[in-house]
Amino acid sequence: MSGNMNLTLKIWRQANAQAKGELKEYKMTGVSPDMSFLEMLDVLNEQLVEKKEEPVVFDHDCREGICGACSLVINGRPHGPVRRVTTCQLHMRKFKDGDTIYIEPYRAKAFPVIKDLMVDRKAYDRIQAAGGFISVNTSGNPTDANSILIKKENADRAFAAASCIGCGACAAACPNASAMLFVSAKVSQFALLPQGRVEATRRVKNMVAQMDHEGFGNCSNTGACEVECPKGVSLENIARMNREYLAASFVPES
Amino acid sequence: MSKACFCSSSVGRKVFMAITGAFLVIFMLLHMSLNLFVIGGAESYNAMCHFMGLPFIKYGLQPVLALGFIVHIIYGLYLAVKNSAARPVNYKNANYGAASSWASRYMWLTGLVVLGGIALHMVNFWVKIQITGLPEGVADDYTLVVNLFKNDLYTILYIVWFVILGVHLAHGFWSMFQSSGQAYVKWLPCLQKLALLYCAVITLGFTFVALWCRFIA
Repeated sequence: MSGNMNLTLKIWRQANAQAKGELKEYKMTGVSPDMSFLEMLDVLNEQLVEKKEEPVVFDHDCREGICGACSLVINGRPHGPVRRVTTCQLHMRKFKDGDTIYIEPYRAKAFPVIKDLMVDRKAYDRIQAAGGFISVNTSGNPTDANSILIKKENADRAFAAASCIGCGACAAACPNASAMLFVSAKVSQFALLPQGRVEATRRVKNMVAQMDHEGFGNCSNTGACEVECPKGVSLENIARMNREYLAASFVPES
Repeated sequence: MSKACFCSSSVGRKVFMAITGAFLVIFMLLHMSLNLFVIGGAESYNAMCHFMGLPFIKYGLQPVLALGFIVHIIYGLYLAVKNSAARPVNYKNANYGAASSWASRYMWLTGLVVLGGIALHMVNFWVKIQITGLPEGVADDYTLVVNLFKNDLYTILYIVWFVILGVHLAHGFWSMFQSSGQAYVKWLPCLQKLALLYCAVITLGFTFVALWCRFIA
């Protein structure tokens, strides 16, 4: 078919968490520009299976850009070269015939490699569990959240923060492997709403403590996270989290 | 877990960097303004040096300044080491430049160059003016400063230093608002413009004085 591409893939292969990995080269011929990036990897895996070789392990789930399961660092950029898309929504038409594409796993001490391109992102779950919730008694007569008036701007900002899918691209993109954008989005989506204010103090303290405990780096405001975030979560959330944390540290909880 | 210490948390450390950074940002502006006294000639410059050597400044304010520098440098280096440990295996084909500025990624490096420049300029000026006294044959503080810049090598070295200082400040200036939580969205574009203005004033101000000493004094 015309327009199909021949590509050279350099993919990180690592048998398990302890093994020493390496970049391995694969030649792909006749790649359709209409394929998604993950479909291209599916085709590669079918070819590997036919040759009785071990297929490449990578994370994926909804393939609709909303679940946060897919990852990959493509040519040095989490979720590839196109802004505001996840790897599953990246299409091969963004590449050219003859391209060499480097595919690596997320790199962070807190995201250890499980196998090949799959990393363990449970650190984000533990941070979320440390405070990313509100405590509501649902056994009685819960009032409709919509009955509380909320300033439009705050509702919009909370929604924008809540669009974080927890994929881990922020920590993968950060030169310091800092998870601040993720944590600040989760802190902000509650901090901006009246229901979230109730536990705001302990939430920000607990989530920051868990983030530090997981071994993520410290934010130095490079802004790489915001650029690479597939959902465009803003740096303003980090400023808000810093503000919340300062207040939480010096103003006693009422 | 909520008992975690503010000072040892990642946010707390950044706040320390921001506060000491803000202090040094103000100091840089003061220092640059003081240097401009050289344009007023020997009398004005010597009077400024005399004032800066008064006991309340020398023994009262200088130790505070030194503390500001030391905290900023130690925390900065500590953070750089911690951050490098947070990614033990780096990307084989890294492309950090696609998403962030050079200045923001190499604060530790520009910081170290600034530190080296500070050491050089303290040996050149501060030690002689405030500690050991002027060397034989140098009439006054004004002559000491002007003579040094008659040497082209020093003039070039200092100007390169001022440019690197400007690069360090360009990221540091708006960072201090972000790290302390004061970078509200509404203010951010304004803060980033103010940062550029501030860096231009500092770098050009210092450079102007060096060139003035070299060519006009």
